[in-house]
Amino acid sequence: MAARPARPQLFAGAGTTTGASRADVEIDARAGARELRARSRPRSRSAPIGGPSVLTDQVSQRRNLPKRLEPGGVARDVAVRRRVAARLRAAGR
Amino acid sequence: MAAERRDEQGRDGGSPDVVLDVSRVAVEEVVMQVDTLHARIALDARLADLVHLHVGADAEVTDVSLELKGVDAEAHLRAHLDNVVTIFDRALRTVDEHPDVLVELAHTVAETTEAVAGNLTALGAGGNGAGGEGAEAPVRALTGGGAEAAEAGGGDEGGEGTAGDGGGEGGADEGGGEPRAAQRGGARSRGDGGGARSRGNGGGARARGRGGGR
Repeated sequence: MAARPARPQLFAGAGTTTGASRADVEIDARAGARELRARSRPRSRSAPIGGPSVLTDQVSQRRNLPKRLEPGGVARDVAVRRRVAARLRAAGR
Repeated sequence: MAAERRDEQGRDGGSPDVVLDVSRVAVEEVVMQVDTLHARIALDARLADLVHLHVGADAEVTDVSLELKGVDAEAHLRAHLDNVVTIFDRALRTVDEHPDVLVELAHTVAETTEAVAGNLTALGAGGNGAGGEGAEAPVRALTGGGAEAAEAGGGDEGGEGTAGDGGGEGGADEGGGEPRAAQRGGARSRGDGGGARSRGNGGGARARGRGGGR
């Protein structure tokens, strides 16, 4: 039986939080692929919600992904991580 | 007190109150076509007009048409409510020790509402045709009290989210949760949280292959 191709390495650390930087609300997602073929140019946005009383923290990481995916383009061993977190400023922590 | 309640329940102070963990998904091949995918987690908690906490995160992707091979993914969503409890505890203690705060607040709200309603009425009277009539709805919302007023004060988030009744539901129970509770000084709390809300219009994703979840 043929060996299965290796899985892409994802960014380490997703889903882990420390007490010092613990957010009140947090979304953390990672994804990777051995090969990615774009049929169209995707658009995405993500942002914290909250006013001046909210501290925000954002992380964006990409590997082997061009800034803009062009239709028909192929990228290999790609990975992306996005973390959006928000914390209430007047928490007294 | 929040801290005492946690101890009684034997909970670790650092544990999140809402957790959604997709620890790992592995799929050999995915053909993905998405017009719009919108995910949102938000906590919206309000104590009369004294405290309003709104915190969360929002994500959206559109026009996605991708073919992926050898896919690995993971996602984590967490919400901690202890800060909200702490802030509300402080606010309620302040109200408890200084109830005159609410009286002052009620006066301010009444004056502001009357002023705004007066302006809108003047606009309505001065307008012509549809413009004048259109101004009446906000006047009713501001002066009518009850559900209409509460909705008007709730902002745009009020229209959305049902997903999170998990997050802030406790506050609603304690405070009565009725729209008029805000005017009586009751605590009202609502959370979109607990729930990433996602909406997809059309398209969809097909997955096949040897991977599967693990």
